[in-house]
Amino acid sequence: MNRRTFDARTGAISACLGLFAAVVGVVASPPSSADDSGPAIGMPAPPFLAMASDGDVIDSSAYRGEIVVLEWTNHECPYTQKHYDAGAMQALQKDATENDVAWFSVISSAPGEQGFVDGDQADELTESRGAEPTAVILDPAGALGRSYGATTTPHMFIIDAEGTLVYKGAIDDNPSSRGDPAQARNYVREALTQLENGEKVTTASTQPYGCSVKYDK
Amino acid sequence: MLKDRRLFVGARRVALVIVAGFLAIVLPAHAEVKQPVFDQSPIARAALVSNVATIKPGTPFRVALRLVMPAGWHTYWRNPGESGAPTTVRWLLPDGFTAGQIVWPAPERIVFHDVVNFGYHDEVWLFVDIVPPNDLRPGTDVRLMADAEWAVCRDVCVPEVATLTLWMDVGGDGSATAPWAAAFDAEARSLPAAAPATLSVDEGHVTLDVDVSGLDVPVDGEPFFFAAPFGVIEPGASQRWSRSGDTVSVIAKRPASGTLPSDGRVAGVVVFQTEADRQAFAVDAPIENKGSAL
Repeated sequence: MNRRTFDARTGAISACLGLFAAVVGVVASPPSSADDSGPAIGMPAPPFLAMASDGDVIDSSAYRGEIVVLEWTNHECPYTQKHYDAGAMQALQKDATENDVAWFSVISSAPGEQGFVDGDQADELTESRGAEPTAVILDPAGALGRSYGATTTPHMFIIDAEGTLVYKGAIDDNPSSRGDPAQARNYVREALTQLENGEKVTTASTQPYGCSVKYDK
Repeated sequence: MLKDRRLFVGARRVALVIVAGFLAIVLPAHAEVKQPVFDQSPIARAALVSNVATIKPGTPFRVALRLVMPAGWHTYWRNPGESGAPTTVRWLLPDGFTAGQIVWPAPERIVFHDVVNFGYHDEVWLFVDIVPPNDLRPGTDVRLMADAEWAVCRDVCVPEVATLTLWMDVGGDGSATAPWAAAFDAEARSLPAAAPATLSVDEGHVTLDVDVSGLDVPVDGEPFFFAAPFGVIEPGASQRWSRSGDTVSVIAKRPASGTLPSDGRVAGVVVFQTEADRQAFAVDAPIENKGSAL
């Protein structure tokens, strides 16, 4: 799976959060608030420009024609750790990306908050955990998270090839820190299988569980 | 990364036992695991208590999972809202015993950063009715065990697990009170009483109509409807209300891509809050216009 970037990597951008905030943001999506749980299933998913851990800028419009998974993550959240410690999240990432699904792990923890990492730390986490996302998106200002109404880690979103939001919610049906993820009903795997078979996603919205996303206060 | 993994293992291995008769402080089973400062589990103290000291064969009695949280921390209601996870109890009971579902006290809204949750702070008693078999022999004792799990959160979340034990004697008429019966009964009395209500639905909102005739509802109390199933109300949205005669109508925003229970009923709690008072009522509202609205 090749990344589509609209800009060459520049050290200046990745080094400067202020510039990052000015350059990278959410495109043309409505303002979000606590009143708003984010986009609806069956509607266009909010487009975005976002910074990857290696400094590349990811343009969601470049992924039209492909299925995109957004995974909100926080490596210090026990509910996220459950899925990585078991190898389940990595296996799902691998299966998805091998089937030409673009998988973006998104970190919306603000600086100073639990789970906040810089690009190098994010890459180290990917390597040490054997994770296989297409890219890790750094969202310390929370713009991407708020535009999707992401509230938990993990919190999962799937966008189909037409750019339509087709799933949002939990990773699986076991809202617990315990249990083997392989034994749970994984809603994302189920939805991706249905999409790959040209079917409609039957369970499109579920209640996410886990730690709250550590947005800036 | 290693440190983080140890942290998680530490949190998961808080397998604990409380002996009947003590509202004991719970000690971690793996104290040798080094943990960062925010994860000095257990954060919430847990105990299994009953208000009666002895069991009468065949006569139902009530127990409670009592969770005591440090200041600033919270645990979750059956619908935790936008994040978190509900407290769960799996019972390990002697043959012939059955346990009901958790009877939940009224929750409150808890807002952290942008995320709105439904839950409890300081302390919560989660009640469960237990039915013992008829053939218990007086003079024996029985062991009730509960495998409880809860998420306790402030700016960070910690899942905690405890295996709690309550020993009870069989005998007497089941009315002998336990030492903590007064606190138990006070908490039980504050459980929301049932109120008749119906729910109507349009594309963007649900309206809960509560019949408050005969209910002790504060006139100036501002209601908030906590719907138990996921997908009925937007947890973070403000709600509107009006009163006409004996009917209080609470109008709540539905979430994008909201769902409604397939059995056509929405359970929940409506809380009337004034500056000085808080009255909560349990509702189990049939959806009146299910066919037309959906």
